[in-house]
Amino acid sequence: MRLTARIIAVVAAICGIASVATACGNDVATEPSNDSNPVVVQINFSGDSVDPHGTKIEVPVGHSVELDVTADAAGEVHVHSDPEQSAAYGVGTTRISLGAFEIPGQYEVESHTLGKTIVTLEVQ
Amino acid sequence: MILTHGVGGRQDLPLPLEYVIAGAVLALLASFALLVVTTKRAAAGEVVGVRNARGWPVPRLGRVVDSPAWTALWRVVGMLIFAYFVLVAFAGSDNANNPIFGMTYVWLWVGLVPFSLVFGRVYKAISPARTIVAGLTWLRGTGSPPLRFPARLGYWPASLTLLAFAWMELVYPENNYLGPLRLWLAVYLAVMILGGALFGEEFLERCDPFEVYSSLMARLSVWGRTSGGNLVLRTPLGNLDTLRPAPGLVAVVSVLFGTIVYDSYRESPQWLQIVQNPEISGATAYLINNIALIALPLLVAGFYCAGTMMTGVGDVPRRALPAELAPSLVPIIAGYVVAHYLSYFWESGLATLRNASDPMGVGADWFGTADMPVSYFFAYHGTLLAVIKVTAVIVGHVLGVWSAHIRALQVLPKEHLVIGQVPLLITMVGFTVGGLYLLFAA
Repeated sequence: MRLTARIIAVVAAICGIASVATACGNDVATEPSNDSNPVVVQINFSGDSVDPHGTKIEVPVGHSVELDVTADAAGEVHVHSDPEQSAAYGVGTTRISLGAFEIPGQYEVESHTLGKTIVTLEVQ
Repeated sequence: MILTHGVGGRQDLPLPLEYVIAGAVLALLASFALLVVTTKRAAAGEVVGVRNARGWPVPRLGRVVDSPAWTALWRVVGMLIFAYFVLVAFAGSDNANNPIFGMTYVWLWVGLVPFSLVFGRVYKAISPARTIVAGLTWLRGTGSPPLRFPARLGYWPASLTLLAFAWMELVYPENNYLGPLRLWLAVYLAVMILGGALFGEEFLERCDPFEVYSSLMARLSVWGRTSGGNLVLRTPLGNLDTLRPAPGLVAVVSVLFGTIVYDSYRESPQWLQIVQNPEISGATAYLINNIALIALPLLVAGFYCAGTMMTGVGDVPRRALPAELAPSLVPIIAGYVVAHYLSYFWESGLATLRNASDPMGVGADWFGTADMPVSYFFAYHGTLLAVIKVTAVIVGHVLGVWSAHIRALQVLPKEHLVIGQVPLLITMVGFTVGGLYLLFAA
């Protein structure tokens, strides 16, 4: 029984050290929003394929995102933000502004037409 | 506008690497510490097992819980929820504002885990299939059901129905449209009622995916029953130890664990790069997803069976070991569900509550929650969320290892106590580290 208590103490100590060590410097800084330089994502549609198709894009919290879409056919992109957004694009180049992302997390940008995830925005 | 997902927009950020490493180290340490403690005590001739395995009787509470009024109360609650499901399934709109998607994928599928962990077998108490079958039985009068449920089937049918739900939720591309979801739920209910009427309640105990999942998680709650059916309080591990091996039990836990693993992995960039490769057609990608949904539970089962069977060196045949030790996967599943779905349950659950107040989208406010803002508490408290995730996985792991040791000591001969348990331990650490890695990579 005493052995159990000792082991529990060791585990608790490790937990404590680990949580203290990791608690520093990982919290999201709540700086005022600064979207002077939006993150621009280049997207190319051609036929049934889209480039990129599943990459991660890092977006600092508070920055806005713009999609620079080049397409050979009209379609629709869909962003799983809250509220969800969808935007149409036409043949040629279309610039879509998604606004600022204020809540940390991952947001998928999908092609509604192809049913594929284009990029995942990693907001942190 | 038809939305591409019925529920859920924001997803959690990946777990920071240092948390994964800290968690993996802890899991390893805890496992070997437990091995040392249990074998030392067993070698000293002490009985290693659950303290007060019979449980503490609670006769007064038992009388309340077993009273017809209490049973009827929860059946009425279940039927009211069911009536609401029917209402939104047929009168609700076919878009993401219909609460049926959140009610099915979030409240029911994710929510039954925490509710069962706290209150016991909740789905059994509110199951509309059970209530309808009870009504049919009452109409038929006394006498046993026309057919006997074959005992050798065990939980095998449940592993298939659980897989069918996971397929609907995770693979089927149109799972966010009202028609397919309504069809799935209608077929589910029809099969359960028909089976229940033909085979009796045992059919629901073995085949209903929600009831099997809920009753399995309820083994980790403090609410137990004696063999005579009396209500007792037990420690979660003591309660878990009452789960006896049955055919298909390994299949059920493997499907539950494997499909959650698939859910984690299917949105990772690595997986997306594979299935969305321009050289792969949409039909092929769909096929790959279907195969992955079946392959991951098989992989889990294979890994688990290999690990447990290597353990066996006693009178118990090796082939019986996976089922004997299967309860040890239940806490691992519970811990991983908490880690994987906590913020999703919170955010999408609240969003569903908001939608449920105005199911027709006509500006109604039935429950006073129509204007409730969704709280992003866990999104803003990323560190807290990460700590909870790692803690949940580790607690699940420790309970699982402990439960496996208790069983292993019952079946292993004394001379093989330490060596015999090492493969089992490696398997469990493998599951936990793998689970942590997925929380990091997804």
